[in-house]
Amino acid sequence: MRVLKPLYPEGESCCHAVVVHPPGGVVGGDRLQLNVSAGESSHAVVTTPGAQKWYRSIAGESQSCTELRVEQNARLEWLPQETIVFDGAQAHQALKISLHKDAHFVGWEIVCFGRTASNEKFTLGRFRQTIEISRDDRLLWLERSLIDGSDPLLQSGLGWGGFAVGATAWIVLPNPGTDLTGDENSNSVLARVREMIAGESHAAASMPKNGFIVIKVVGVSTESVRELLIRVWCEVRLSVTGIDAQLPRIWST
Amino acid sequence: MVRSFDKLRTKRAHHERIHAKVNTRLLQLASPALPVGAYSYSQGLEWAIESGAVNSTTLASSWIRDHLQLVFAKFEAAIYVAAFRAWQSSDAQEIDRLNAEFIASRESSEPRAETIQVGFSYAAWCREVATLSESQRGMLASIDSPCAPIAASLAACACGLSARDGLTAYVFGFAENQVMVLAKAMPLGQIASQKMLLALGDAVESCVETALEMREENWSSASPLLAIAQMKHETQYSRLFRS
Repeated sequence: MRVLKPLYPEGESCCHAVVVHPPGGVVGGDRLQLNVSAGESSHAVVTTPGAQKWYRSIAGESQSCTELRVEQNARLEWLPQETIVFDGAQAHQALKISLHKDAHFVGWEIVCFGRTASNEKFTLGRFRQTIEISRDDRLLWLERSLIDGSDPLLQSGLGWGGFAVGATAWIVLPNPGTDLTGDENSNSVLARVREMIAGESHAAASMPKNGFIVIKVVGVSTESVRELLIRVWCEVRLSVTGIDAQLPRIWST
Repeated sequence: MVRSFDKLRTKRAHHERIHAKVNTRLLQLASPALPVGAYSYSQGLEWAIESGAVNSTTLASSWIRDHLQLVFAKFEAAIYVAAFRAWQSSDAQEIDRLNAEFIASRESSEPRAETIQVGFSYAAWCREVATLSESQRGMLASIDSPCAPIAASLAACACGLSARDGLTAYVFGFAENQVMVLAKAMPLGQIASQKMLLALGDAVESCVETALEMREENWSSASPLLAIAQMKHETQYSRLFRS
């Protein structure tokens, strides 16, 4: 894995970084580790040039572990492209995010089961995902998924309902109050996010803890899900920081 | 000969008495009269009815069945079992970890508020009604906000139930509450509700068995459309339930 030359399309206050895994896909037994740290008062947008692909594996489980750390007063926007779980893949994808209480974080994870372009389904294999977010060393979010090929949850109306793509996005606002019902600023961001996705029957948002907003989406294609999340990100960027979002250049190449 | 027969009979009678005692405690924990307020939550089912995703008895029954077997069994019930064992061995660190993980696994504000409120009521029941050991009392007092499966497993443990019996009462209570949601929100008649609950018996049992056997590395809380239903419930125009 490596980081392409950092870009500063928004001026020197914000670094756009592209993390590349040259082989593009992961096969049996591979282990990937990525650590990203946004130092005090820094601002970074981190993305990837293409999908993270988990290929069919006969040699056991492959793993990737991503650790993000956001220090005091720093802002990190973690906007990777989607993960594609090929039929027959055996993968464990872990994401661990540690935030300072003054940190501002926006991020998402988009997972697609099977290659939708060729109508492939995820019928064999196993996909595990662990996502942990903590603020000030206290656990804010824990998502542990274990989905087997042909898992009944992929069809169930409580799971994916036959949709191939599922995504979660998080917005962690800096300096949340202890108000149980949410402070004014957090509530207004939540209301704005809800307004933007109101027309979607398979997307919704909530604020499980003050200053911590979660968006869940399922859909037929990564394009439609990503497009929705990008629109939400741009809106949140503007309303929270007052700065217009600049789409990472790599997305349009 | 006669004397050893008498002895055997006394022994059996003794076992039967203990068994009856366990049974009455089990019934008390499974009773809808237990003051934990779980009947005021639908866990997304009210939205599923409102949105039309659940619009027939058949769909309602498979919604609850899927919830039990594909979701509840693999996380909440599994956490209950792990917590039960931690209460038995007075492992305070493990109880804290499980409690923090369960609360963080609730994906929206209503399910978080629900598990904390129900857990609060179970914890009060444990303190005021059950007989706790000194270490259990101390461990319970040190938890910030005990969530439902953590506090409910202590209630069962303190009553001398097995993990299987305690969990059966807990899972049955969940299934019964879900059926009662249908009774009020669909609505579903009393006899039809009772028939459905009876038919869900095997799903309750398999949920318990799955949770008892499941290794932690296989725990899974994934249920995206359920999470979306629970989130959408927050802004539902008119509602009877708090989740």
